[in-house]
Amino acid sequence: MISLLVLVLLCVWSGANAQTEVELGIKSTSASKIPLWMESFRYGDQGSKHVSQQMDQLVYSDLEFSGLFAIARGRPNPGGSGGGGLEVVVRGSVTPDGGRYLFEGRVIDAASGHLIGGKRYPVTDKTVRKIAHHFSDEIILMLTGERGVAGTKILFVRTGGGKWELVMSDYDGYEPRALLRLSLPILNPRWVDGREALAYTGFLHGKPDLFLRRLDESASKPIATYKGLNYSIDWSQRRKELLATLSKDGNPELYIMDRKGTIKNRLTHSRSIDCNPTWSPNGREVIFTSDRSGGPQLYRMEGDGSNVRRLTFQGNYNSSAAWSPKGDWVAFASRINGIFQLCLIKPDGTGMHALTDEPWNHDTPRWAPDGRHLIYAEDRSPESTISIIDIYTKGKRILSKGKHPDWSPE
Amino acid sequence: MWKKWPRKRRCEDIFFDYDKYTLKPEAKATLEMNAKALKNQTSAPITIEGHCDERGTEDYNMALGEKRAKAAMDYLVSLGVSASRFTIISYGESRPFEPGHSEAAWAKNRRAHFAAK
Repeated sequence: MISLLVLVLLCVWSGANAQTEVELGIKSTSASKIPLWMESFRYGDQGSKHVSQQMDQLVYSDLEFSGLFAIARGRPNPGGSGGGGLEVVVRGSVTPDGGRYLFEGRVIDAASGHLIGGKRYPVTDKTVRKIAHHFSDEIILMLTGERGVAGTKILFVRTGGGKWELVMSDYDGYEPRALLRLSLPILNPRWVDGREALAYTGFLHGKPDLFLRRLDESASKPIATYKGLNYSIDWSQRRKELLATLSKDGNPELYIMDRKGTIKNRLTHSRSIDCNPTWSPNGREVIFTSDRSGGPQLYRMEGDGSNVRRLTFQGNYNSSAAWSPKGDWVAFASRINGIFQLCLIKPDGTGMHALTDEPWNHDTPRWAPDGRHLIYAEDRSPESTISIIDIYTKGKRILSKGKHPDWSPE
Repeated sequence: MWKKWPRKRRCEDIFFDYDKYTLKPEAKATLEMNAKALKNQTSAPITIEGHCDERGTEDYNMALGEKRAKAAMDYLVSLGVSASRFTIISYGESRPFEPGHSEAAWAKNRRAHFAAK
């Protein structure tokens, strides 16, 4: 796998003028982990104890979740383990600061004792989660050159009692907020333009139409309300365009439209089902589901609809593809012994393997911006559940009840 | 939401095999009866709903439901019912007729349903 040699220029905080260059060799895609000692966060007085403990638990949980670290609680032996590789210590403290608190966090090279980087934040009881996630992402940025995903957001649909709710939460499922509640189906919410807006399929007019909603507005605007299906979309930030599945011309076909719904191009022309498109990260290619060979399989084509070729040949039902933001894998659902399992395949059609093997169905995988974690829906009886899986360790986390998850790209 | 059908003129649901949208002989026979009922009416508009069982992927099932409703509509049109009377809607697997997780429930959910508008 690609070895990232990250040159991190570290500006040390609080007036210190020392600048240190640390060269970090981290394999971003392998299972090898950076040894990390996390000391219990300190606190200035009894009043700041609960904030310190909360920060400690959240940062620990975020770092553990990232899959990048082998974490031990406590202090390292003097000089580290002597293994020669990078080993780090994370320290934090919370002190009272005139009605609120001050959090200071540091990342230290275990072998030399030198400061790698640090952060200082004002914290209140209401902002603890946000600050902890931000510090966790900063630690990962310092050590790998890429931000972590602890500050990202999740969209999903919750159903029950004949209602459909479009919910946004933190990446760990906390702080859920219903953005929309209907007594008609809501499907497929997807982030559009970073975290600026979201698009979804709603039956507000009695049939599946596409709507766009800016996060800073409370009303949705219809963007595609053609006869038949208006659904199954994917946004390309590179192109600033949506792929959508429409049946306005009599059959489910793939189209490109802008975020206002203006159709730019029709990509498929077959009598079979074409749906579920996903952009390549560079916006030049598309992978989608079609039953043109008899059953649902994945196909790959250019962004103008040319050069269509079949991608999957194993199994008789492959669908719900999502192209990784790193470009290296395509996640999808494959029917194996009668059960839908999450699988990965390389965009050239090699390397197919299953990630799950539980005896219930898995569907709608969507990538975290780190290209390492997938969020998906699984039919854990009696209710559908939103879960997350690390594609390298296959470690899982259950987030919430719900369906149709999507992970914000930043 | 939909008006009740007069019993004599009710169109019966038709059913499909797993992951299929081709009409089975029994479905064609039902549609032939439905065509007679529809032709006996004036020109009341009809909505054909396409539904799927829960054992497919969500997005693909939306398309499958649409193809099922379309197959039913095309056959009724071939039997002389005016195409302008029909609207088709796919609900995919979002509105199962039977909530269970058995083959008996799934078979009932793989259907095209007719509703008076």
